[in-house]
Amino acid sequence: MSEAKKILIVDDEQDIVETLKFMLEAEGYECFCAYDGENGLTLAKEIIPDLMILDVMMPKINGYKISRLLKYDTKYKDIPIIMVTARSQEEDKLIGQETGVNEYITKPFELDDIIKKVKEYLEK
Amino acid sequence: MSKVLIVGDDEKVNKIIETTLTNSAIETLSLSDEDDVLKSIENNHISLIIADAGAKNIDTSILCRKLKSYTHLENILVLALISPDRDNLDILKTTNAYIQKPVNEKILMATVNSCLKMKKSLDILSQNNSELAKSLYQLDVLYNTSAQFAGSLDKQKLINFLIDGLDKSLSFSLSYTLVFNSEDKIDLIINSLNGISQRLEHSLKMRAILSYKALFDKKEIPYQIDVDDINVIKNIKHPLEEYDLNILKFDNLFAPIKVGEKFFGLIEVFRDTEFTQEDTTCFQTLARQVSLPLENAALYEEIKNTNTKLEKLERLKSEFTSIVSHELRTPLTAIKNSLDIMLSGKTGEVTPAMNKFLDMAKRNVTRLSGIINDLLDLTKVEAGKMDFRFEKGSINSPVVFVKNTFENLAKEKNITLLTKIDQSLPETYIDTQRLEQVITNLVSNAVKFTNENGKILITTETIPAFAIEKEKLFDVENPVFYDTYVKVSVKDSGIGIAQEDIPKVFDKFQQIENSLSRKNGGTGLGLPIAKQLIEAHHGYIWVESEINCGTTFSFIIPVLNEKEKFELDLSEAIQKSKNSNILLLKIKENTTAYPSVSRALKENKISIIRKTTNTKEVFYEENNENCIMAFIPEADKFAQNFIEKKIESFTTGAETGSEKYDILYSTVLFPDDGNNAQDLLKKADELLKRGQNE
Repeated sequence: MSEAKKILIVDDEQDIVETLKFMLEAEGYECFCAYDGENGLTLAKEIIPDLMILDVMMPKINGYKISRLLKYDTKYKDIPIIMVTARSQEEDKLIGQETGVNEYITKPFELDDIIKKVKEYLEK
Repeated sequence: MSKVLIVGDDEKVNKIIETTLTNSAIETLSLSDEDDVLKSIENNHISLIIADAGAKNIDTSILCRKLKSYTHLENILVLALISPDRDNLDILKTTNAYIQKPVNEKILMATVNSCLKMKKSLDILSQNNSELAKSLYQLDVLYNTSAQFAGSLDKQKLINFLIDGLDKSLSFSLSYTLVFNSEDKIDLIINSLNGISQRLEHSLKMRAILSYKALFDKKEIPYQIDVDDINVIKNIKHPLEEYDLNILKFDNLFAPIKVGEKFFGLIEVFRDTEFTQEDTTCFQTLARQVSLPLENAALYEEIKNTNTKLEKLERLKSEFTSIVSHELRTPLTAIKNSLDIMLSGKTGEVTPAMNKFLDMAKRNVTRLSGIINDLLDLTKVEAGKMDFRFEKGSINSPVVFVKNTFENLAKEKNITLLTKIDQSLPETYIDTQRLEQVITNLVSNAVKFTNENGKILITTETIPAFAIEKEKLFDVENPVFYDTYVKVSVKDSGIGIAQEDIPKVFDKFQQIENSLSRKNGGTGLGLPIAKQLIEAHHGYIWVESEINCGTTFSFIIPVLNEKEKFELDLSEAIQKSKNSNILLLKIKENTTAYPSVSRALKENKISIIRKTTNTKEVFYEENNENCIMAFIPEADKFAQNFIEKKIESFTTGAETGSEKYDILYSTVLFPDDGNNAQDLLKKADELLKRGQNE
């Protein structure tokens, strides 16, 4: 069996990160966590994950900015990004698309939905 | 006393005239040299000149012409003495009267007398004229200043217009205006021809305060005032020269300035010449006239402040909702995720009892997030912030979609769910997703409140406006109706709603007190949301019900054609626009000149607008006329110019390379060109027609 795929979860809500991490690890993925935008960005560049789950509203650097910074860098532009947010306004989705976000999921989400999306990107 | 100048070289004739006139107590003066004539006329207040046309060294007609060329001499009359044997027509053109030589004393006296009478009338006339001209000028200033007053809602500007108007009509030397903008902001505006000395400035301050206090006599003054509080604004025309205290000895006029009935300030003007009665009237009129516009300005300011406050409140409200929703959703997600993990069995075995309660927790979390979503929806649609995607379509498709979703649930409860669909239903403008939301809500209510073996029927049909039972539409002020509607009804055989509860059905958080409804849960927001969504479609929703027999919810949506929909959208945008302008464009392909240009051009016309603006636009094509109408919310004069230039460059071929198109267009701006959709459209049409005729 090949090495486990790496997933980076960036969210300032520790509880959300915990539950996501638990479910994804149960699915056999290796999970890394960051609790603010700055750390998330550093970690992303360090470990180059196979996929990122990103919250929008975070201290220091918000999710859109991280997404933009990564997507305009050839080294990281291929990392799929799933954006998670409590906001559901249409314009937020538009910003998400402009900054290169691959998927957009609104809170409260079904864990099953996220796992389904993750599998779509990592096991095709 | 009249004075007559006699001009001629015949001493004898002069003598006769002199004697005759002197006998009648008329002063005379005789001259025989042309050079002396004009000078002596100016110095001696001459009323009449008797000129001998036969004089050798004086040309009478040249003298007359010279006289006419001076405005202050043009009223002097000329009586010509002519010989019957000579051709004198030329002289008669320029003189006022003539007598023939030899001079007959009686005729001379009669003519001179009538000339002098005429001169007297002329003088009175011209004096009246010049007074009239002055009055006219003052009236003109009054009129212009009033017009300026009417055009402004800015207090500062109004006061400036007043001072400016007074300056023009009175040509004052100095004016000061004391203005109470607020308790702590008191301005003294000094407008002066010359500069003012230090001590004059101080005296003016003191004088202003004294005048202010004098206005109220012994009554209580509205504002307390101190010399140091006064902020002096000086406008000096010629700073090199300086006025000193002596200006206070000049003639002066004084008036209070009121805002409506309330005191606002006062104005005093000084002039080195005396003010006439007309000047005083003009001064008082202007000072009085500024009162009403000042009051309007004050009201406007108040309204603006209230509006700003309201807007702030509105913003706070929507921020609040957004924050609340964010803050609520995040913990909800954590709870839900935790429950999901436990329920999945990955944290260890779940006993049936554990499963039951975990499931209960999860069900309630789901319900809570439903409430949050409903709340958000309602706030959004109420604030007009919900984005609708209206497209032409049949209302049958959301109905069929909802029926399919509920089929299983109905079967479980053993309820018959039927539809009666009118396949020939006309298409209209609908947001399919939002209507699905409405119909889902209605059907889900029907399922909830219908017992086993009950029946639910969903019907769609076309209905003309006159067939609508308007008394059933409650809570609608001044309903407007279109010709045709599509109607959807959801009829159930459920528990029904009591008559007294029917008016409350669409109120927020209004769940009718009923054990069954409590048991059935729900947020109490579904129907108010449905009502708002239907109203956004320009439709109406209502309910009919009878206890224990069943309930029927019905809604209607107007069948609109493209034009009606466009006009509705435009009116709505106008209603919503607070600070921004709306630009309306009408572009017409001039088919008589270029019959072959068709589809490509249409696409280009749209792209002209799309490329030039990044705001949302709404389009409407009048196919039979090859017209495209569009409006752009949040436009401005700059956008208007930009689009016009773009169209021009396109029509001249600069944009498209070699091709040239013959396009007519008109642009109108709200609110500059009209206050409502009808006026704007009419104006756009007018401008387009004018362009066509040119």
